[in-house]
Amino acid sequence: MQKSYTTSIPIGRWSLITLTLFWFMLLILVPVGGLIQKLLASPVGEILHGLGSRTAVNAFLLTAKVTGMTILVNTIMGVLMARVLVKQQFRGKLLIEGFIDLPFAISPVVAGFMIVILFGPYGWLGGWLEGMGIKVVYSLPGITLATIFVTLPFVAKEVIPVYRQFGMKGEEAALVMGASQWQTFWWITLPSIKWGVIYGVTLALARSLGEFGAVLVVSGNIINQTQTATLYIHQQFTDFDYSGAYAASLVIAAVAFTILIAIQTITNRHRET
Amino acid sequence: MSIILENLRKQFGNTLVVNNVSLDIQDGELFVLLGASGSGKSTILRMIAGLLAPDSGSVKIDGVDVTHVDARKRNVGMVFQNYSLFGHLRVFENVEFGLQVRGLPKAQRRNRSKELLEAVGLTGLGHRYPSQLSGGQQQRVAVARALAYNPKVLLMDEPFGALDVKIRGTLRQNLQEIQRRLKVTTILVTHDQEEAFELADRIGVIERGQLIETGPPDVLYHHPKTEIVATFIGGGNILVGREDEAHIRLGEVLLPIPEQAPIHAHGSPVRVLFRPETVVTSREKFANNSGIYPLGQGRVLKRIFNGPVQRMVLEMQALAGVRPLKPAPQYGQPQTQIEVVETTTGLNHGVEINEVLWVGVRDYHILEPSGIKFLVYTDTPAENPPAQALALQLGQVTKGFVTLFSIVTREEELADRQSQIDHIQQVWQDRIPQIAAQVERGTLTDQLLLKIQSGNYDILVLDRQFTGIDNQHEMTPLLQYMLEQTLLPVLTVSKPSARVSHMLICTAAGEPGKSDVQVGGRLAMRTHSKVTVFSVLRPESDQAEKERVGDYLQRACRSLTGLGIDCDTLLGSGQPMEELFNEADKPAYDLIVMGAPLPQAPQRTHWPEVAFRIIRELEKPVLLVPMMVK
Amino acid sequence: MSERWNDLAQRSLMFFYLGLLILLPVAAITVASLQQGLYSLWENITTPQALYALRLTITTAIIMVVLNVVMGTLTAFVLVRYKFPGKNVMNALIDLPFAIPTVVTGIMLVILYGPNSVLGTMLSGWGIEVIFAKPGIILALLFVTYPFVVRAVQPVLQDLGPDMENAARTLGAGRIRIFFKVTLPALFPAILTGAALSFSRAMGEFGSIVVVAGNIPLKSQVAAVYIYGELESNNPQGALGLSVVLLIFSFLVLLGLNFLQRRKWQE
Repeated sequence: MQKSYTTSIPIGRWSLITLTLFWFMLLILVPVGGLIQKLLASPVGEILHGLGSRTAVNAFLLTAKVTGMTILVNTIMGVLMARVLVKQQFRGKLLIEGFIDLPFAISPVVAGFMIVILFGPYGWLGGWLEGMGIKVVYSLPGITLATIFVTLPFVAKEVIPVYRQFGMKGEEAALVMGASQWQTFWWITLPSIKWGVIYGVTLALARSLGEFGAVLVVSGNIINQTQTATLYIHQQFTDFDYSGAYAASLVIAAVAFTILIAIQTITNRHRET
Repeated sequence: MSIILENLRKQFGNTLVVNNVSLDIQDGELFVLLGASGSGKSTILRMIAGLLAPDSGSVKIDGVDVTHVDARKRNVGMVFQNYSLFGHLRVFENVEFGLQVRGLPKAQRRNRSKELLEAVGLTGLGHRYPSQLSGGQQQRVAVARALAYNPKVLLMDEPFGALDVKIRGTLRQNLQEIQRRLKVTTILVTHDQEEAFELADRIGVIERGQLIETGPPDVLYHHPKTEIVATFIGGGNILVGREDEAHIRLGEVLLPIPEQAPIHAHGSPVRVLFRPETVVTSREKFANNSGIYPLGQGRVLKRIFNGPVQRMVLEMQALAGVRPLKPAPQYGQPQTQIEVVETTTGLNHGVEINEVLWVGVRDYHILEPSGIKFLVYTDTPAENPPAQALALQLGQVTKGFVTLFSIVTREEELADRQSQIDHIQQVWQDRIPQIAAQVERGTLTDQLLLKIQSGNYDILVLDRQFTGIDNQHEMTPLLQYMLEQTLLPVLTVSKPSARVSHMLICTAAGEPGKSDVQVGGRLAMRTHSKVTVFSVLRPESDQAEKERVGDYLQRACRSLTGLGIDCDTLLGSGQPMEELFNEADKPAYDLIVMGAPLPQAPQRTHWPEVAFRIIRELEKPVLLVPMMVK
Repeated sequence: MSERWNDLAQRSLMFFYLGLLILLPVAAITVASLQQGLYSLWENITTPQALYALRLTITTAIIMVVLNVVMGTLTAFVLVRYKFPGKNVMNALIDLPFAIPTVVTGIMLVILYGPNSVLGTMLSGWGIEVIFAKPGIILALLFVTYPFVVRAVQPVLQDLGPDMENAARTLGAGRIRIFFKVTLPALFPAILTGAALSFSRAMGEFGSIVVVAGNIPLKSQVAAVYIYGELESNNPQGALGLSVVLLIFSFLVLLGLNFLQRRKWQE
């Protein structure tokens, strides 16, 4: 049995494994290790000082705020979009399903630029909103909007296949048994698509924590006001304040990575049972 | 609680999935809808449940019209094909779900679910998840779940379909017991005939969206009305004989027509069904007073030992004037095959292959008469256009069915056309008892396609003139489309024609083959016409080809002679197009039959081209028979 | 009836959301660039700086895609077919680039290959420049796109199983022939999908590159960085040209991916 696996490629098994591991380490592990090593080499006081500075704390708080709102909006809208795209038949459905991924394909800088054009002071919506006293670009709403844009497809994309597979039949059964739409949704649909939602939210979370390009263009990078964690890291780096940048980098990467790994293990375990 | 379906109809795109189904199910009855997959039975069930809205017609549950009532308010229980159990809920939570949404207090819910799980034999498994149960157990959870809230009716969609053959039997018994005890009106959908027999109070047989027959299992088995039911339920032999002075003539054999048998006109064809277990074989000739009607002698072709019974296929010499319907006759072989099932303890225990035995029947059943079903499209019923005239003439001569069909484009034309066509129907009612008339509004191809799908027609009759059909460019695509879409033979007519008495069947030797001969033969038999089977050899053909084609024609003729048709063969030589045309043009023939191979067929000659030229230039009726090629 | 209203409301909300977040911004940038006039748009794209940035973006993207296709497929193959110590850990870590912010990626590469690092000094001693040059861009792109090909190919390879290869072997095919005639064609659509995703990401990548390659016109400035530079220097008109070009690339890739997806459904 094992043999049929190993002989199916014209080069020896171990040379392939070695090559792959070498590539993986060189490309991924060594740079990560380099960052950790640098951090370990920096004086602890300097790190703590950097992380505890008002600028850093404000940046992290802003990122948390933006991420929270992004996740809230995109979870609700992602599930709603999946529901509409799976259950309803309407004209243009295929088109929407095809182009819902557009934010993944667009450069973050261009995405930010588009939002500036639309919501900037001279934009179609920006002028109107500004008249009402709402400032979008160079402030919190704009940053949130940009983050929502770049993470828009995650939840819908993960939920759609799960919904197709499990949700529909259960919904029909619940309907025949007399359940209302809300009852069906909360008691039957949501538990069935739960893992799809969680996975999508996690990916969106990681991305919104780390988003840089779109936010940079939209925010104006005003220290203590519109500077998110990634912007802060960049700023520190360009200001040659390396230890601060390294520490913040590691914090944010570690958070995102922990979430990703946690979810991976949970979903794996869930799928096995 | 009774369930009444009235003229239920559902169309998906261009396909009529459920076609005017009306059904009356009594309180407490276990009704089984039996049909092949894709016959529309599940669609009917979903319309009763409210998961699908019918295009027209109504559903009444317990006397209340629920056609427009939301599924959740119909109070029906449903067991889905793959159960659709809620995987994230425990078994008892699944069962309680219907009660929970009805707001029943927890304690009562617990009691009810305990009670139901006990009823289905799952006591103590309530705390498991569905994925921890076997398929059979899951099915029982689904039943318990559907019954928990005392639904008015129980609907089951292939509830045993996903299960092992072994446990199906036990679960069937289980289900039947529960159903009898609770007396809940139940509709069960299945494709499994055995299941239907075992469970049903009554069975309804569905084919292509139509409810063909309903009745208790034994009645449907022993006394079916239609050929469809006779062949769908159980194996059997069907021979077509003729009515002869209160008897059925099967060659030399005369069977008395039983009293309750449907009435057949004098000399009309009679379809006789005898189930394999009513066929008797013997090494000795049957005694006169044995109560067995002898059919003749047959040679044993096959013998399959099956434990308690053995199944045999015997081959008999063709009975003159008898057309075997089932088992389907081999092409070019006049012999008739008969299926027999006997107990293995009988006299013929040691039968050998090729042994010749006497064959008789102990019992037989006569199906309702069925003539050829003509569908005529007519634009101007009042003027009696040639197609209409010929169809009426053929309908009368063949004692067949004629449906006059007309299509109008505008609403205001409807009443006028309807009265014209009704008039024709009334005038012909006496001569053709089975005449129907219908007008629809819409576009020609769509409505015609739907109409063809909604009935089991044998031949579509069309005028060549309508919508400028004389122009090849317009007619060819329409005809070809019709032939491809419906596989229904089309008779095109251009001029008022004489009574059909001599048909020319133009056939290509070998593939695609034979359905042209069969359809033509059926028409010839009913019209008592003479038939000439004709084919053309290219000049360059060699001797072997010549012999092959000659042999093919001979075999075709032999099949036809077996039906009592006066038949001869003719083999022309030259360019097929020219020869066919010249032969068809001869005044002797008054109806031409041609095969129309579908586009994917390997085309020896360009048959559609030839056929369309003949339709264009010849003023005789031409019957085009679409042929599927494997 | 209420259900139908409910459906309609949900659908309308979706249309509103997608309209506001996707359709309107795309429309706004399109209108803005048309207002500018096609001629001046063309001029924007054909300045030597913009052209160089575009060419640099495309060449580095292509080099990355080729490397990534080979190594990504190989990684998927090794992960699915072989057992070796650390396999599970490696499988989990494949997604690491999705979790790490792109700026951090850039910083990590600078630490590793920068002028102050051991590796960087060594390489520049051999005349190889990584940071502020093409190799740095390609390395950054390889890092951020590594999971795409692996994660596209892995499930297909898993479903494929060794059955088809074994069947081919019973028919007498040799190992090389089996790999190229049986396994590879079956993986081809998945590889193409991974390649398209990588390419699309590379065309628009910003965060890691701006750190690694900086913003040196006619040397290490890629398209996204060029756009950012124009915006920084308060010249949004100049940024429109390449933005539109990148947007067109995005649409093309998406069309291609949809085509691949639909073909998969049909099978």
